[in-house]
Amino acid sequence: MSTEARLVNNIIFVKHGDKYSADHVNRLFEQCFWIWPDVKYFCYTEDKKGINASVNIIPCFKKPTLKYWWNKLAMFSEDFPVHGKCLYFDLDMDIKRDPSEFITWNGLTIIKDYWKDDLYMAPHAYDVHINSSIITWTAGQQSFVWDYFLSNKDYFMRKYPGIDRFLVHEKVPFNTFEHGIVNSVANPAKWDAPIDMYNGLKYDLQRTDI
Amino acid sequence: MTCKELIYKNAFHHIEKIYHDSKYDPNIDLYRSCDILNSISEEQFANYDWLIQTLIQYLNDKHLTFPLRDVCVMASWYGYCGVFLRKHIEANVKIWNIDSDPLCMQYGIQSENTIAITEDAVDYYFDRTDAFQLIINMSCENMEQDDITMIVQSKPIDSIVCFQSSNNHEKAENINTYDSLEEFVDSLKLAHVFYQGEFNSKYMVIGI
Repeated sequence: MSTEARLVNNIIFVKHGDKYSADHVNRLFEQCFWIWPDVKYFCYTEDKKGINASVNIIPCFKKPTLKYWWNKLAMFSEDFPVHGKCLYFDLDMDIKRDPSEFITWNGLTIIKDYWKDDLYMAPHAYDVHINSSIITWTAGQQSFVWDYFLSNKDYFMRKYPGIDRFLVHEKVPFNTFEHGIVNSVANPAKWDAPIDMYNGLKYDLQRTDI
Repeated sequence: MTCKELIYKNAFHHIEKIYHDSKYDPNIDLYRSCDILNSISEEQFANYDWLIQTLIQYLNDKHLTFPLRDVCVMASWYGYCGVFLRKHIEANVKIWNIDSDPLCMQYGIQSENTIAITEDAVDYYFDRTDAFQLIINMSCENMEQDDITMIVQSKPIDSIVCFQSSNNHEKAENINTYDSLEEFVDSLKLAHVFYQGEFNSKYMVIGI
């Protein structure tokens, strides 16, 4: 494990709605716990039923009510009850081995979409080359992102179909992880990445019993 | 010029300007032209028409116990509801269009006694709950349920509300939707419902 990856204090998941279940949270927790046994685990959710008791539940803020992926931005709020270095994973990530060599804390850090390098993107498509399936940041240092989102949230939610586009096109400063941290299942990489991501695909858990 | 012509003229002027400016300024928000177009869609115009034609039946001495002086349009977007309403109320009645999006003021239509305010509509209202005899909200689906409840509870007893919501549960910004008109009516807990109706996927309630 890299020296920096040992610095992680919190691993955070977000589950809202019914696209993903408590089983997705529990599976990812088990994968992470094997790599990072000494950190605090959190799940920001409106439905804690079935989530492993070792995962601390952070109930979704009563206000503002948000749906789907927009809840991820609440992690940057000053009111989000965590301290120190944070590592976030989307629930459709499948961690196959320790990704620590790629994990850094450098402001807001997210994934670069290697498979979009050659795509044409018209300015008004607001498409992006980044992906917030994995995020690192230090608690309390990105609260301006949340505050800015709240300043005109209805317009932003109409304009952008997801938070990645919001981050890029509203010019939120960010860095990206070193190349190689993920393999997109829909766009297989040429390298052996420690994490498979199902970005946008249906992610069914493997059956673990008869 | 009809209301529709005035609104189209305003919208097309701004859309053309956005296109022109975007040729020289990379920071121009191209989506804004799409947002303006959405605000003048056939569906939106039908909704404005439904709201106004229904609402004006209740803006009379029978339903208003004191003179109409100030109208609050919450989350007013580009203010087009106020343009239609203006044709049916006295010129000295003030229409306060409240929207948190700062550019609604720039791209909307203002006129004498139609005032655009950039502020969270709920915050603005709660600072002056006694001020309005008519409160219009065409997008309750984007607002917190307890805010809507508080608006109804804190308004003067005779002030009329005209609230719309929808059963469109899918949109990310629709945080407060209903499965039926009856459910929406019940949620408002009005003392007296003058009108309740359904049109396309929208619900509307007028009452006190």
